[in-house]
Amino acid sequence: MISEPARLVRDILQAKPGSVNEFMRRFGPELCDYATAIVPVRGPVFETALEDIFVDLLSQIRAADSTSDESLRQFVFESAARTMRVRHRALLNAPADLSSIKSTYRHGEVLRELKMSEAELAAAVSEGVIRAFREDDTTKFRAQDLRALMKNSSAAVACISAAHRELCCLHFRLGFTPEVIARFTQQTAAEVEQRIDEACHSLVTHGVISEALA
Amino acid sequence: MNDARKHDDTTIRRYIQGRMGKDETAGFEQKVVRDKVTQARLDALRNQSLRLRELFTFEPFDLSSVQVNVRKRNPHRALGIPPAAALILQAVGLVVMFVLFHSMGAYIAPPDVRLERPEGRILIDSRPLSARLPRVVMNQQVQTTRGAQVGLVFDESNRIALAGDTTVIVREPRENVRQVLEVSKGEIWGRFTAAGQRFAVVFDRGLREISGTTTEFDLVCGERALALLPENYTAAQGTPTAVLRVFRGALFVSSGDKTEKLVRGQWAVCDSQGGMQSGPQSGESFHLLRIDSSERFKDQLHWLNTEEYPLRAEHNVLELERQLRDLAQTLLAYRETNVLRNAGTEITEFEKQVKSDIAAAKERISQGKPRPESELPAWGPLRMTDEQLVAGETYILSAIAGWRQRAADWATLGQAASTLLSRVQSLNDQMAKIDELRTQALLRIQEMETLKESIKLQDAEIAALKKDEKYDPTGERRAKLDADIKAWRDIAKKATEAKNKIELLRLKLAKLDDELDKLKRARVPLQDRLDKAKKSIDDIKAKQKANPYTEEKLTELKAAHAKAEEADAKADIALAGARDDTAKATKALEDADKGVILIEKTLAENKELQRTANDALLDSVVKRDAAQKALEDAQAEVKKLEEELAKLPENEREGSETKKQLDAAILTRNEKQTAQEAALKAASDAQKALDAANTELEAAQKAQAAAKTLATETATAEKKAREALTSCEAEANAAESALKSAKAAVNAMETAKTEWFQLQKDHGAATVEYEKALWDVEDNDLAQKQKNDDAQPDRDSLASQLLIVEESEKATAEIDKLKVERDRSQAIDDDLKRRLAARDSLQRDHDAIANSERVKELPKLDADFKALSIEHGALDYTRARGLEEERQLMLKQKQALSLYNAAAEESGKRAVTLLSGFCAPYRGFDLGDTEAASQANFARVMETLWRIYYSADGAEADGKGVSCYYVVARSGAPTESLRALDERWRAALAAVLGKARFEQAAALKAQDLAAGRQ
Repeated sequence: MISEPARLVRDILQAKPGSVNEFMRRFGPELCDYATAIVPVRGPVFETALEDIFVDLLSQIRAADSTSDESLRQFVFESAARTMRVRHRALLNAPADLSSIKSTYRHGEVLRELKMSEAELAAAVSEGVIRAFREDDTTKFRAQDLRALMKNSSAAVACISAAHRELCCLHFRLGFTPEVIARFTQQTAAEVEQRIDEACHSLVTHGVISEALA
Repeated sequence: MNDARKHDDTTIRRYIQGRMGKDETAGFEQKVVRDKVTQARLDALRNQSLRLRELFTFEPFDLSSVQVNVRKRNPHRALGIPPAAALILQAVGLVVMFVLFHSMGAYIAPPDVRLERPEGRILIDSRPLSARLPRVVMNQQVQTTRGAQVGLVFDESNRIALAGDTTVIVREPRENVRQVLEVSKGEIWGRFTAAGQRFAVVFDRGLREISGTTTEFDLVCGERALALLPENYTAAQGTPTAVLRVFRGALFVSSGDKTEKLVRGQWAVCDSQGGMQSGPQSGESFHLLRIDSSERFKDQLHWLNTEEYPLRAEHNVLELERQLRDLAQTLLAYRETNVLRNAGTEITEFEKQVKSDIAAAKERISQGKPRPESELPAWGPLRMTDEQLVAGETYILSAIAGWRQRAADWATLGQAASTLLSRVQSLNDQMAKIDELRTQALLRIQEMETLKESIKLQDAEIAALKKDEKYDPTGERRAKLDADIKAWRDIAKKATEAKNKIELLRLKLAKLDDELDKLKRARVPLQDRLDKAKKSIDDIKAKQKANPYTEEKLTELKAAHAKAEEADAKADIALAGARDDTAKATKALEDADKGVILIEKTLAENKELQRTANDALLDSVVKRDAAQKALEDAQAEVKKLEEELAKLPENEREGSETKKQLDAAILTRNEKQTAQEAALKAASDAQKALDAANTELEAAQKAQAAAKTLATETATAEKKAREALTSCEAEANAAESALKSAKAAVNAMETAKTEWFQLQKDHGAATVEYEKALWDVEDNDLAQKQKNDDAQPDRDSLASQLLIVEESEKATAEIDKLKVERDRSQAIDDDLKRRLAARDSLQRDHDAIANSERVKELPKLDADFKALSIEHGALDYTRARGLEEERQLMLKQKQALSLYNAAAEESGKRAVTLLSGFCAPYRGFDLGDTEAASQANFARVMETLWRIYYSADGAEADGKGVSCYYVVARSGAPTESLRALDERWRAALAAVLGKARFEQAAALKAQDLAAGRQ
């Protein structure tokens, strides 16, 4: 009885219809998050990087260890990391963008970011969940209150460098240990842990995340 | 964040993610239970991890645009058909299924059979074919004459081509078989492509049948089958009656109850005994040779094909090809047999010769008459005596046997013989190596001799050491020295102890000295304090002596002060009265002065009024006089005019000018009269006002005189009051001065009194301070004395210990002397031991060399060297002998080649004749301008055709030289080789025909050939 990952790899190699779709359905969301961590703005650059990751994966899939789901997954992200280093080195070297950190939000921005209606926002303000204040004759909202409610604050992570974002995504989002990440990124495990600590400290310093209990 | 904090965070993260070992986890949890701070940090980092996970989980992304590009760039692609084609195929499939189901439920209709592309004479039921091709109905016979051919089309799909001299009958359909054909004789080629329609071909007088659905085959029946048998067919008992070849798909051949399946590339031959033999197609490509590109049987050769070589399989005719191939095959066989060398045969023959030579040598040795050396070659590897030859027999025969087994690897005996060279060289090398080992063994034996000499020298040195006076083999002398050294060491050890004590005492005394110094340093401020206290008492006493305060003096001063106060009060009262009087006089004087000034002012005003009234009277008098004069002038004018008027006649008066002047003068006089009266009245009023002013002026002058008198009297009184005030003020000032003096004296005495009491207090305090300071100084002196008393025993002890140390230094010097003596004795003993060890080592080396493998194996090496020498001689002899045989064989090959060339020439002539029979002339094309030229060119073209087909020069397919078509086709050469042959053909043809005729020939086609063969 052939295992599920081995079957998927075999189907891709035999170019069975639907095999590429299944592969992208299976690893697409996580790879999207990985690529978004490195390229927070989902524009043409992001799509090119994601496409290259998938194409490289398909061309190297013959070398995949398909004995288990986890081994195949590790191969996928090792290949993705290699693609980013070989083809998109400049993206990985992108520095931190501190302009992305906002201390206040306007009314329209809050509605867009939180995907709330006017009534919901008004209710949140009246209940004290979100604090509003007047500045320059405009109603503004504190970013500190909103970040906890934001489901997607991809722009906020741009306050750390792309290399740090990659490590944080691999570790916290995708759950790889520093030893595995070290293999992906050609670093030592101690270096990886140190960089992750630096990234966390930076995010806390910039107020993107809080260490306080939720 | 410091490093420790970072390390803690890393540890906590490892715990959160479960990356700790079991023991480490337990230890961490125990620590966390006790540590509230770590618990809080653990919760914080866990929360941080969760938040980071959420932070890096982004909103979903639509991968469809990426997916399209990824699929385009996907390197793994399957063979597939486009969706549109797949849809069409499905539709076609449905139609086919529909048709299939329909046909299954319908009756078996006869197939629609029609004729196509007739060529030559065709007979339908023995009647010639009309111009209009009729449909063939069931059981109708179709016959082709020799050289003719026609095609049958079944249901517009399956096709059967009939070769010349062929007869077939279209039969009724049967169950499950709609298309049935019976072949009476001749050859057919069928291509059945309709998948749903099963066919059957009956042949061999109805005894056998072919059936199938989609296939392509060729069937030959009758006598013609004998000419078209497969190449790899082996004749059986019966005569072949039919030959079947399958080119594509599969079909079933039934013969009675037996059915055999034939697939692509197989053939079957049916014989007259009812048997059938089948096999795989090999050798010639029957389909290519028999059927042309337009799916017709090939009967004629388009020999002036300027595009490609006419004898290529796709152009050639089967019969011609077979005959040409036979000729070429015969020639090649002769060549391979006689001209080409065969290493296997040559090696076998060579082996026989050598064996017979060895046997002869053995025979001669057994007879005691070995070949004399004079008969042997003077030098070289062939110089082998009979003994050497017999000794090397095994090697010689083994080498030749090896050649025989690998004969396929070499072309000639000489090549095989050449291979022994490396072995001979290898043996040379081995012999050299063994010789080297033998040399090493000999060198080691020499080394053993050297070691023996060294051992003797060591023995001599050992004997000399044993004779030395310091030599102490039992060690008694060194034991005595050791005892002495030990005794001195005990003394020295005491010194060590004493030094330790000295250190301790010095430490203790240093501590006491420190304390004494501290006390001495502390006494200095205490002494200062005592001196200061004493000085302070002296100062206070001096101040007390200088203080004037007594109680009596103070009482006297207070009484004087009371008297002065009383006198001062009286003077103040007198002064106040004088000041009051002076004020009153001054006020009266001021009032008098004010009255005088007021009266003088009134007087001045009256004078001004009197002067004004006087001036007004003067003006009014002047005006009165002027008015009086004006009135008198006016009256004079009136009078004058009245007189003039009177002079005028009465009637002229009224209205005359004079009358008018008179009236005006009267009016003026009246006005003047009025003015004169007013001036009179004004003058009268001014006279009255002047009189009144004069009266008031006189009264004012009288009041002024009275006021001046009063002012003089008041000024005198005020002067007297002022003098009295001045005298009172002088008295008051004197009293006040006296009072101030008295008061100052009292205050000074009061101050002195206060100071006196303060000095009394200070004196008491200074006395107390003095006592305290004196007490501290005395305490300090006592403490110093006590410390000195305490340190005295330690100081005595220190002196005694210093004496012990001095003694120990002497002991150390003695120990050094004894040690030197002992070391000398020990050195002799050690040297002796070392030399004994060296001798043992030399002895061991000697024994090791004597027992070494190299020395031991020297006899074996000699034997090996001898054996290799024999093998080397034998193999070198075999090699030389083989090469000599090779020279002989090459001479034979040269002779065979001459014979082969003659045979090739003869075969060429036969092939040209054969080709001429298949090359019909072209209609409307001559090979030359004249008949003779045409024949000569034709002969040259035929020769060219044969030369390219088979050439003795190009009968090699080694890819280097020019290969002929036969070799190229047989060896399955690539297309490039065939194209090269085409080029050769075109070049040769152009050379024969010339450019213009060659271009004409290029327009020729197979259809231009004149029918029939020569």
